[in-house]
Parts: sequence; C-alpha cells; structure tokens
Amino acid sequence: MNTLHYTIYSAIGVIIGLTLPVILDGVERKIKAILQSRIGPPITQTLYDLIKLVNKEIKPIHTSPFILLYLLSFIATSIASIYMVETYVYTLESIYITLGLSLLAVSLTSLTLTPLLVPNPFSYAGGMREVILALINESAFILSTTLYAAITNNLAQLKSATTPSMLLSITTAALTMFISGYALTGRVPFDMAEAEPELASGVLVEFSGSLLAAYMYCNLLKRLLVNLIIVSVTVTPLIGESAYSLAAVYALTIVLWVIFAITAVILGRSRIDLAPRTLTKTYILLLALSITGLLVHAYA
Amino acid sequence: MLMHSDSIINEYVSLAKSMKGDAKAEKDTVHIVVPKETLVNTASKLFNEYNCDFRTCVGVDERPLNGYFSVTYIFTDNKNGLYILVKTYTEPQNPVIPSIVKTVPGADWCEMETRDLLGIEFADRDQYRLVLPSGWPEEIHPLRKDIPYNYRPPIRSVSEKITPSTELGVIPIGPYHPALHEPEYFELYVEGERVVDVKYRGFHVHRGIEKLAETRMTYQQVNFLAERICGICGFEHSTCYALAVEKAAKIDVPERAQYIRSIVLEVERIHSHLLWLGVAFHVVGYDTGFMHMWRVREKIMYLAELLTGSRKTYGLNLVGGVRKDINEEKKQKTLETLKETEKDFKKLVEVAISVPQVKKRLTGTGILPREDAVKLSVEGPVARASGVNKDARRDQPYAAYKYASFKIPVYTEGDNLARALVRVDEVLESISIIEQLLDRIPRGPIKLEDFEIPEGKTGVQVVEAPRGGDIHFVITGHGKPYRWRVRAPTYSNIPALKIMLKDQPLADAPLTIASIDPCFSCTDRVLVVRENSKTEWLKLAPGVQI
Repeated sequence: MNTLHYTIYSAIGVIIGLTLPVILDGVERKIKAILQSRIGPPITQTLYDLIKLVNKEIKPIHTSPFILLYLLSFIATSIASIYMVETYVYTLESIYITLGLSLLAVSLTSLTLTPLLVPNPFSYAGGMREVILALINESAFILSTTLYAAITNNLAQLKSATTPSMLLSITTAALTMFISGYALTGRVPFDMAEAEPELASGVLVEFSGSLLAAYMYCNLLKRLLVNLIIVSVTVTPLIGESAYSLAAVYALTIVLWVIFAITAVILGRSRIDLAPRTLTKTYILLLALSITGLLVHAYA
Repeated sequence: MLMHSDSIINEYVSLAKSMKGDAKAEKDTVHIVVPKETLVNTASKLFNEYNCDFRTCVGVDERPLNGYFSVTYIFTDNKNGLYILVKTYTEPQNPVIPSIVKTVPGADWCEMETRDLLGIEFADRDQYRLVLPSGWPEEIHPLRKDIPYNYRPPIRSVSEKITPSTELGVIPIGPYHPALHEPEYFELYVEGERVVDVKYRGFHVHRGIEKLAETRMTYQQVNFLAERICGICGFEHSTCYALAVEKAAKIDVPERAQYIRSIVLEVERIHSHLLWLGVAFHVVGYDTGFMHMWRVREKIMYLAELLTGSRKTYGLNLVGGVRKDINEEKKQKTLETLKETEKDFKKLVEVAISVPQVKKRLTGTGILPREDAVKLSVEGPVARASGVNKDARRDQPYAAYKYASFKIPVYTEGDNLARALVRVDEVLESISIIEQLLDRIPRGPIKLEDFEIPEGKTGVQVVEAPRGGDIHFVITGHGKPYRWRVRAPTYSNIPALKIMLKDQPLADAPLTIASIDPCFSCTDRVLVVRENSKTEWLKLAPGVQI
C-alpha cells in the first residue's frame, strides 16, 4: 500500500472512529431495550440528544477555565491515538500500539481530572471514584495490552505459541485486557462515578448544554478507543498486512461493542469499596500467571 | 375476631386502677384514662412489662366537649389482639403533659407533631419543630378547633438547611433529588465513602388533610380523601378509615364486603411489593431486573382495573361496605392472572437475586438490629426483616383475614436482603390469600344501606399495609369525624434510618433509604384541594405556591 492510500484510509478511519460511538451508543440502547422487553429509543437517539444539548444554554459554573481545555485535550489525544492504532493495523509495528496506549493514557487522564475541577460535592465524590477506578484499570489495561502485543505481534510467533506455558501467558493477558478494557468503558457494574443515585449524576452534575454534550461525547469516544485497541491487538496479527484490515478491525470493534452492551444488561452496579478490591486481586493474579507463563516459555 | 378473655382485660383494668386511673373495654379496645402524673409509668409498664407494641399518639382539642386538651397513646397487645388506648387530659391554659419518649422512643415524632399542631407541650424531652415549616408562627396551632381550616397565617422565609457548617463532608439528599421521588431532606455526613451521621427533615408536603376532614367533609367523603393519601397504598388507608368509623359506630358490615376488601388489599400489596422490588433493582444498577419486575407488575395493575374499575385509587370503600361486587367472570380471570403472575415472578426473582452485584449489595447492608426495631416500634417488612414477628392481619384480624390461612415471613438478619426477601415471600402469600378468599367468598349484600353513627365514640384500627401498619384514629362527630388522625408506617420507619445508615458505605445510602419502602406523601399526608374541577393551590407566602 502506498503512502497516499494509507493516508486516505487512515483519515477515513479517523472520521469513522469519531462518528461511530454516537451511533453505537444508540445501538446499545436498542439492545438493552430489546433484552428488557421494551421498544426503546431509535438508534439515532444519542445523536439527537447531543444535538439538543449543543443547542441549549450552558449553566455557568464557578470552575477552572481549564475545564474545556481538558476536554479538547482529550479529543485531540484520542484522534492521535486512533491514528496510531490504525498505523499499527497497517504496519504491525509494536511501537505504534505503544504510542497509541500512551496517548490513551494521556487522554484518559484529561477526562478523569475534568470533574475534579468542578466545586460541587457530588462531582468531587464522583470524580474521586473515577480516579480510583482509573488508577487500577488503566495500569492493568496498558500492561496487559503491551504484554499481549509483545507476545503476539506477528503471526509466526502466534502460531508457535502452542506450549502450555505460552498459551497460559496469552490467555491470561487477553483476559486481563478484556476485563480492564470493559471496566475502562464505564459500563455497569463500573459506572459508579456518575450513575449511583446518591451522587445525583456525580461527575455530570454541574455540566449543561454543549459542555455536557462534549463530556458525554468524550466518554463515548473513550469506549470506542478502548474497543479499537483491544480488537487491533487481538485481530491484526491474525489478518496480517492487508488493505482490508482496517475495515475488518472496525467491523469487529462494532461486534465487541455489542458484546459489551449485552454484558452490561445482565449485571448490576458494584460499589466503590468492592470493585477496586476485586479488580486488583483479579489483575494481580492474571498478570502474574501471564508473566510466569512467559518466563517459563523463555527459559524452558 | 379473636376472643378476648376477661382475665386479660382485667389485667389492664387493674393496671389502670393502680395508676389512679380508670378503664373500660369495648370489643377489641381497652380505653384507659390516667392522670398525667402517672402517664409515664403506665406507658412504661405497657411497653416494657406487658410487651405492648407502641403505635402512635393523638392529640385532641376537646375544649368544645369538656374544656380540656387530651393526648391518647395507642398501643396494641399483639398476642391478645387488643388495642390499648391510654388517654390523659391537660388544662387548656397551659397544656403540658410529661413525655414518654425516654421509656418509649417510638413516641418521639407523634409528640412533636401534637406540639406543632395542637400546641400541647411535652415536658422532660428535646423540643423541635417536626411538621410545620420553620417560618410558621409559633402561636398558631392549626388542629385547634378555634383555628378555621382556611386560615392563612403570614409566613417568614427561613432556610431549611439543618446544619450551616461542619467539618465533615456533607452530601445533601433532597428535598429534590433523583434518588427520592418525593420531597424529603437527608443530610449525610461522610468521612471518605462512609456515612458517619444522618440528619432528616421531612413533612414538606404536609397539607392539613385531617383538618379538612374534620371541618369540610362528611363521613363518606373522607373515604375518598383517605384513599388519596397515597398513590400506592391508598386503598389500605380508605379501608383503615372505614373500619375505624365502623368500629366506633358498632356497625356490622356484610361479610361479602369484608372479603372484597381483603382481596383488593392483597392485590394492592402485590402491586406495591413488585413496584418496590423493581425500584430496588434500579437503585443497585440492575435495570433489567427493574424493567422485568414492572412488566410482571403490569398484570396486577390490569387485575386491579378488572376488580375495581381503576388501575389505582379504586374508590371502592364506603363506611358500611364497598361499591363494587366481584362476579364469576372476574373471579375466573383473577385466578388465571394470579397463576401467570406467580410463575413469572418466581422465575424472575430467582434470576435477579442471584446477580452477583445485587446479592452483594443487598447482603449485610443497612442493618437494623432487633432491639432497635422493637425500641423504635418500626412497622411491616422492616420489622419482620429484623426478627419482629408482627402483622396486623394475624394479630388484630380485620376484614376477612380470619378466613384465610397464611404465613408471616420473618427474617433475623435485619439487612437490605432480608427486607427484600420478606417482600418476595409476601407476594406469594398474598397470591395464596386471594385464591383462598375467592374460593370461600359468601353470597350476600356488599353494603349496608341504613346505619347511624353516634357522636363522641372512639374507633381505632390498624391495617397491615405493604409498608406496615396504617393507623386511623377516629372520634365521631356530627355528620363528620370530630377528630381523625392518620399515621402511615413510614412515620415509624424513618427514625430507624439513622441506625441503618450509620457506618454504611455512602453508595448504599439510597438503597437503604429505599429499603424501608418510604412513602413520604403518606407520612406527610399530602393534599391538593380541587374545587369545580379547578386546582386550588395553597398559598403559604406572597409569591410562594406549594
């Protein structure tokens, strides 16, 4: 593939990446409705909601002027991260996934810090919950994704991974990546920063109009970015270098979104003192098994 | 009706005499009158030695009758199916009686309500404003007979914030909050994610419903007013009111009417519990459980419409009977619907309760120990989940419950899960009760056409509503109640929240508050007056409409 084609495909990919979350959230709401014996809103409802919010006035909040900067920083770094992940899909060079993950970490930090700038007890409590979850999940996600990508970044290596120790290493790294990725998307049972009723929408409480629309859109974009990274890392080595690999990655990202949506329907919400404890124990166990498997494979 | 042995009644008569008072028994009610000097001892003996259950107290302005104010403390002897009313009088110039709160903590709110609404002071206790808004004039006591029902005193605007500043983190919940569906105010004091203290201010929607009944309405009209106290358990209130008046007037209601009342009461209980279970699942983020529980509930709403003509606020009760009969077709349809509901409900509960997050968050949270439940005289599923085995349907049988066989689910854990399981079990028991009553319903009239209601008679009734015992106290007057007092179960259950919320995770606070199935409008006795199909708003201050 020449540079022009690659640039065009990547640009189209970024545009799709920026618009897809709005539609996929509508799909998720429809899936939820069907599983709950409801009709539910049309799949374009999230788009309508965001348009309506953009057209509404912003209720002034006494907060840092950096709040909008944080959200813009999130969107900019997310675009850069999507571009890096797409580059990884085309080139299979692990430096790009590492860059993509680094940019993801920066963008998530911007998003997590935003509610802490709002002087409101609900927002602050929700923001602190978000920080606690982010500290655990981001570390586990970045570590497990890097580990998985390092083990499986080419098909030959993946095909040779038939020893039990290597299989153990790959499986546990993948499990950690999926669990932490799911937790990072902020769905039930990990939506405790904004959905617990005592917090009156927690991190969202003071946002209104286009500011609320921007914050909600950023959260949807975060979901897409996490899904995209998981799919790219797991699927690209199997496809290899192909002109259609990006299309395949986006198609499977949609599938993963649907799987996550269904998972969210069958679960209840955890609690801020329970979830971090359970997640930490799970991640430590899985990552320890993964690293042990890798070491056994390397030195056996 | 239980047979009340003379020896038991004589015990209460002897107690009254030993307290320099007097007593008389009428059917299931023992009326004790004691001087105010021995009131505390009498209450203490009933509560601690006779193990009577404290229900509420009622202040009455009896100046037009005998020149005094009175306060009646209502106890029930659940073992023997008796109501024990302890009454004391106080002079009108300086109305003060000793408080019984130190021995009977459950009397806290009703004493403060009596102080607000009748101006009777209670000695030897903390005084605070409970029902009236902070800006209401101190000298105006709206339930006194010389205050007209439409009197509008000037109101000052006063902040309702309980504590202006504190070193602890404060999470305000209410008066308007997404976790509350009615206006009430909780201040949760938190250290990190743990609740260390709770303060409460309610009665934002108190509208003097009792005053309206005592001044503007007839006996039969009050049935419909009572039903509007609550949008969920309104029929319990209208039944309780009708039974209290019928008891005071010694009216024997046709048996078929009593069966119909019990059947509809149980339909209302099922609807209420299904609604609550759905809300509980929603609060713990399990929205699928919430949606499906309300899908099942929809069948019960259909059933209510089939039996009464309305999905809610049935308008079925009258003093002396009911307005609508149940024919054979309705009977068959009801039985079919109940079978389907039972099957769906069992399947859904099995799945929902086993969802890990739901189970984890319900288990071990919001614990109310048995001793506190007894001390605070809590009601209904809250009491039964804490090991207090009481249920008015069995203990003070009314309507047609004596003809049905049913279990009273009791759990000892006292946590949110226990309260949920009590309600789950009660749904199944209610289905069984309706089936039994439909099978045995006798033929005959459904209401009395002619009866007299003599003046000056007292009737008190407990009806086991979905949230616990509703109590209606009536003193009969000329064509309308002279005094009508309503006490909803949430009134007794809210004070227990302080214990249930303390040292609990903040995230479980809405679940624990929801676990008592609070009905703030019941507690506050909401009222919107309608005249000539036009809503008439109560104006409390210039520019303020409520």
